[in-house]
Amino acid sequence: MKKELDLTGMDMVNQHYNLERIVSKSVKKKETKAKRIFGEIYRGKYVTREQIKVALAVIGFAVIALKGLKTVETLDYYNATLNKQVRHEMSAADSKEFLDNYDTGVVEKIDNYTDALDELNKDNYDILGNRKDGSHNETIKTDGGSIINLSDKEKDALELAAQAEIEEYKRGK
Amino acid sequence: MIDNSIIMLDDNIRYRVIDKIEHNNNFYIYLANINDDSDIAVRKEIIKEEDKHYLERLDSTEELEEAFNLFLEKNKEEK
Repeated sequence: MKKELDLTGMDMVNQHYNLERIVSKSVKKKETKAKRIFGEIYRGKYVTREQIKVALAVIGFAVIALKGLKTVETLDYYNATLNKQVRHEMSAADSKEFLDNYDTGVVEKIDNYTDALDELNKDNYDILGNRKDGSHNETIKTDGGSIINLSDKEKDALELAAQAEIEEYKRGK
Repeated sequence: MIDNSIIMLDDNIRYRVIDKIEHNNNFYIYLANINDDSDIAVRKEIIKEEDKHYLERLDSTEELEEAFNLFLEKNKEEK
């Protein structure tokens, strides 16, 4: 039984991310005083791996938002295109194995996406990210049936990133 | 030796120290609300007269982004 990639982008954002709250707590406002502490600050002795993972996801989203990227749509399209490519390129058995063991985190997905953006030939796109030759990507929808609103360039980068994951998986087999 | 792994900030919320990273002569302290791991703050540790330690807010969102990238870089091995 094939398993769809879980956790939509919106779920992740709602659960783990609030850039405005982080900025309001972390960046100077007028007349803010430093808080005095006593002794030296150590790394929290009760920090667990899970807490680090949550912090990574929250901070990863915050970085994305600071760069002005569309977080939710980006992750939704990444997941949807990866699902589609896996079903298209792999056997049923390989698809199941890939999806059952898939554990690429949000931060790594965004890294893959931004790397892929750098790889694209920028001359092929206009200032809005539309392909200059007039062609468009096939429409991919989320599991809920929504059309994902990204430019051709953004979609091409996401498809490139998803394809790179599949190629890496195949090399490892 | 005082264990300061739990800190109360100026919002009267207690935070756990998640990490401490040195960069360009600054120590960035990453904090998470002890009751909500996704409620995060970042501060700088500064030392003033007579070796007194303070947690100061960052100067700008640019500095905050830099602190974020330091954390991501250091902890990206964690999965």
